[in-house]
Order: sequence, then C-alpha cells, then structure tokens
Amino acid sequence: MATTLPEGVSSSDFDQAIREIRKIVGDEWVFLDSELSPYLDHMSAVPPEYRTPSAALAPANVEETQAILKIANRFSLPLWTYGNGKNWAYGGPTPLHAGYLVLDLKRMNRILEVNEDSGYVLVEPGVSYFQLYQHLQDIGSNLWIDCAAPGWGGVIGNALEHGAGYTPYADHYVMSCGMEVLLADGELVRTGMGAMPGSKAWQQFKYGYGPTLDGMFTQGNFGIVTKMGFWMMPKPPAYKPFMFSYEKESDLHAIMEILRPLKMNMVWQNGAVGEHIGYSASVLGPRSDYTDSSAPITDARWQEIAHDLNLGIWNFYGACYGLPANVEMQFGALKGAMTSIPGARVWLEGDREPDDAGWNYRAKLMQGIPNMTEFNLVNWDGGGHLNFSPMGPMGGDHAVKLYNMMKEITNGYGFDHLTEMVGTFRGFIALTMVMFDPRDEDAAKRADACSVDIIQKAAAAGYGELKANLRYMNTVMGSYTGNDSGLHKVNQKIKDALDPVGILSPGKSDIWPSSWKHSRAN
Amino acid sequence: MKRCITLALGTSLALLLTACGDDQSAEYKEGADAETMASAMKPPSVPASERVDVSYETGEEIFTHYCVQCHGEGEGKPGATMLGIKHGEDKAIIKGRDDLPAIYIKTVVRDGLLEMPPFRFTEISDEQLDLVAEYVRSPN
Repeated sequence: MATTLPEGVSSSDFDQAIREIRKIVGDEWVFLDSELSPYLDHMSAVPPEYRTPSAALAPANVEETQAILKIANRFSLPLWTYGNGKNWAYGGPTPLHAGYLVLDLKRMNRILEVNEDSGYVLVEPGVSYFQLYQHLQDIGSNLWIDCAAPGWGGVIGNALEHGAGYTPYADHYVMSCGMEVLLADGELVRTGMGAMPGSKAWQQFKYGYGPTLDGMFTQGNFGIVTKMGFWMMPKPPAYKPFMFSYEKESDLHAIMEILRPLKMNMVWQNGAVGEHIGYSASVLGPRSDYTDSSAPITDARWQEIAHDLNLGIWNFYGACYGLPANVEMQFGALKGAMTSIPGARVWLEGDREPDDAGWNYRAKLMQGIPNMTEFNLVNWDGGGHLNFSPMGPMGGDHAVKLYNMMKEITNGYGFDHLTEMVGTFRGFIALTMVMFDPRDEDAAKRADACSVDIIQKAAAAGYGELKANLRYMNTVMGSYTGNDSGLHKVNQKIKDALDPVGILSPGKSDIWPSSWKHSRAN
Repeated sequence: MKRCITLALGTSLALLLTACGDDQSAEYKEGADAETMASAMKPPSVPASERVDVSYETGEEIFTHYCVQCHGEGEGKPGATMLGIKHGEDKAIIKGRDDLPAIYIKTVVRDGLLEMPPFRFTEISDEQLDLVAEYVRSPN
C-alpha cells in the first residue's frame, strides 16, 4: 500500500514528523502502509481505500499525546482521534479524509478509579464496556454499567458521540461527570470541579464555577478527551424486564401516545425500545433465512415472519428497577396502559424460549451486561450498514409520519426497512438502518443515495439527525442552518480560537478552521 | 383477590392507567420495604479501586475478551451464526478447528472479512495474535 500523504504536507516533512513521533511513542506504535489495513472501513458505501490514512499513531498517555500535538502543529498534520474505533455504522476507526493521521487512543485503557461510595468510575478513552464490566465483576462491585448494544464499544467514545444504553442511566453524556481534555496547543484542561486543585468532588458535581464546557468537547473537534467520569447505577434490589408485542403496523400511533406520559412521568424508567419485526428478525438471522427475493420484504411477509417468530410487528422492550414492591406496582401500571391496545401481549422472564437470542440479549443489556448479539444484524445482507437517527417529539402523529417516511425511502432504494423506535424522556429516535452488500457496487451506490435522502427529507420535515457516518456529516450539519447558519458560525469561531491550523479531526461534524485550504467534500 | 390501582399521570389528562396486581405487590408494606431499602443502601463492601492496567497474556484470555462474544457457544453469537450458515454447523465454532491455518486466522483478524471487522495492533498485538491462533487451533 503506497503512503497517502496528508494534503499540503510534503513527503520530506511527513517523513521527518514520523521520525520524531517514533521517538516519542516507540517504533512499534507507529503504523504505516500495509499495517493500516485494520484502520479501513469495509462496511460503508464507499470502498475502504477511499479513506486510507497516512499513518496511525498510538500514544500510551497524556504526555506522549502532548508531544505528538507539538509535532502536528509544526507540520500541520491532521489527526483523526478516537478511543475504541468500533462504531462501524458511522465509520469505525477510519478518518474523514485519506491522508489524515489516525490518533488511536486504545492504549490509554486504564480504569483510574471505581468509587462505590459515590457510584462512579473514572476511565481513559481506550476502556471498552467489556473491560469495565469485567473489572467490576472481578472486584465484586455493586455498580452496574450502562452499555451500548455492541459491548466492544468505548465508554468515553460512545458518550462523546451522544450514544445511549438501556438502563435508566442510558444517556451516557448526561450521566458523565467531569472531563480531562487536551487542547490542540497541548494545554490540559479539567472541567467542572476538576479545575480546582485538590478538588474532592470532580466526579460528584458537574458544573464547578463558570461556563460549563463539557458539551463542546462532544461530537466535535475542539479537544481530545483523555479522562472522563461516569456515574454508575447501583444494582437495584429488584429488576424486571418485560416486552409488549403488538399485532399491527398501525398500532404504532396508539403505542406512542400511551408511551409519552409513561416516559414523562418516569413510570417507564429506561429507554423504551420498540423494535419493528424487521429489526427483531435481523438480530436472529440473515436475510436469506426469510426471503429468496431481492426486492424489499413486503408487509404481508413481515406479518408471516412475526407469526413464525412468535413476535409482534412491534415489540417494545423495557424494565422496572427498584424496591420489589415498587417494581410490581410500577409494572402493573405499565401493563395496564400498554395492553389497552387490542392484541397486545405481555412477555416476562421465562415466557420466551430459553434460547431466544432476542429476549436474552435485551434482558442482559437492560441490566448493563455487555454482549455482541445485536451485531448479528450486520449479517443481514453482506455486512454493509449505515445507521440514521432522525429525532421527533414523542407522539403518535410524528412516529407514524417518520416511520412511513423512512419506510418509503429505504424501500424506494430497494432496501428492507429495518427500524426501531426508541422513546426518550420527551422525544423518540426513529433508528433506521440501511443494510447492503458492499461488494455489490450498485447496492453501495443506492445505499449512498438513500442515506442522503434520509437525512434531507427528514430534515425538511423538521426531524434532525443525531449522528452521522463520516460521509454524511456535512449533509447533516447542512440541515442545521437556522439563524443564517448561526450554529455553524459559532462552531467555526471556536475552532479558529482553539485550533486555527486544524490539526484536531478537521471536518468532524463539518467543523473546520476558517484557514482550512484543503478538501472538505467527502 | 386482585386489587386495582388507578393512576392519573402528569400532563396527559386523557390517560388513565389501571394497574392490577395481587395484594402483596400493590399494597405498601412499611416494614418489608424499610428492610429492603436498608439492605439496598448498606455501605459498600468493596473499597474504591484505583488504576487498573489491562493485559491479556494467554491465548485463552485474549480469545475470551475479544472473540468469544461473537465466536463462542450458545445463542446470539454473530460470528458463529454466520459460519454455521455458510459452512455448516460443524464449522460454526472456531475454537478447536484445526482446519483453519494460523496465517488465515491472523489475516482475517487484521483485514476483516465481510461481516467481521478488522482488529488493530492496539487491540491485539502480533504476539497476542499468535497466541490466539494457536489457541483457536488447539483441541477442545
């Protein structure tokens, strides 16, 4: 593999920079040429080589990262940063543009503190959910983690991307408390109470004194988060997972109307995850298990599949947590409301077959036990997958409108509509997956066009996207144009102030310094 | 005997929830709840732990951390599911498969293959990968 240089950087400067970086991190932690294969994304709509980095660098600690930043500033090297690099639907470990250098923080994988008294952990960016869970098990902790569905994900990375889990602590950024951040010039900052020398409450109270900066270090490129605290949920005395299934596609309206007050009043304590049967089926087997046709699976066939799997067209998973008597009372309220729709069925522990992978992995996730079962959906049709999360206010009209819109778009491009509706405290996410075979050039092109259509049509209807694969970051930010693109402008002003050269993940969320002279389109 | 509780929730006047449970679950039992609460809130027995460095040293440890959730036994394992479909149930579980050359295992781990994504040197080093390949090929 020939070295792809960063735009505007000469071969001699690049070589000199690499020589200097080798002295900092050691030869074995600088990767070039054929060693960059694991940094490519095989699962998106463009060929892996499209985003070949020029190098990958793996510092062991903050000091080594600071030294790399000095060199990057001197040679104008764009660094693409991540911790675990496992968010495959969004680009995995690959950079936005060919030639960027990947700053792989996986070696910074220390669990710095587990505090049972206050119920928190302090971790580095390379810590995965599996690692944290196993450590808590090993020490006999009373704390639960809250993990993303694929357990190999990074605790910090997921929170910085506004990711979510499945216990009542599901909003990972909300449940974070205190960051340590490296700025582009090498300055080290601790947020909140952590800014005070000798602070005793860095992980107990978020705000400290003055403006709260934590949010600006998420889903952007203003700094490198090197430590982050997270509140952990104490294991509750009682835990009761459940699932409500519904027979008809048209039940969605009533479900979401009933769900809204349940979520607002926290009767439904965790995220309400409503799988369409397509999503449920994809976790259990590949597409070829359900159809021989290349055309999108029809409503009639989904009905048959639901019947065969003993599931509904909609399957809403949740759980109750707390004191045993409270849990039973709370579940009684949920059951009364959620089964008021004709044909609704209730499923509890022991009601499904013992080897029902769908129930089993949900029951694990809702108590913070990481696993990889949901990654089965990547087997649907050859491994290619792109995720979209248009956000709407909780309610029947919006849910039906978004569901129909996403279905029409995905089916229109020849793809099955695989979706789950996730109810948050006030809104819902219409998670939509575009599944395709990346080896099929035509399918990849259709997936690419379908992705842009999803973002733009949802935005035109008022439903903004929460996160995006690298290729569509500018499309998403291009929909946040209110007040003469005020948000975009302030992002750029901050970028200019903190990183005028553009060495930290240039183009992440379509944020660039104004001096940037190189490629932006991707 | 069943007892029914009716709750009117928050801002939605239209929604009335009817909760039906048995006497034991619906009734507030002060003594029992206080006991449960006290048990749940007892001081933790585990002291704060500090700075844990991770190193997986044996092939089995590395396989258990990085591979078994997709390639292990039991339901809901994406790698095993796909290998079973493509190559037959006897090929579904890679542990113990001596028909997989070590170089093949290592290439698939580094480069990925279809539904399996690649793993970086920062996750599994070359030395660890040698141990994993040896462990996978060893008899059960």
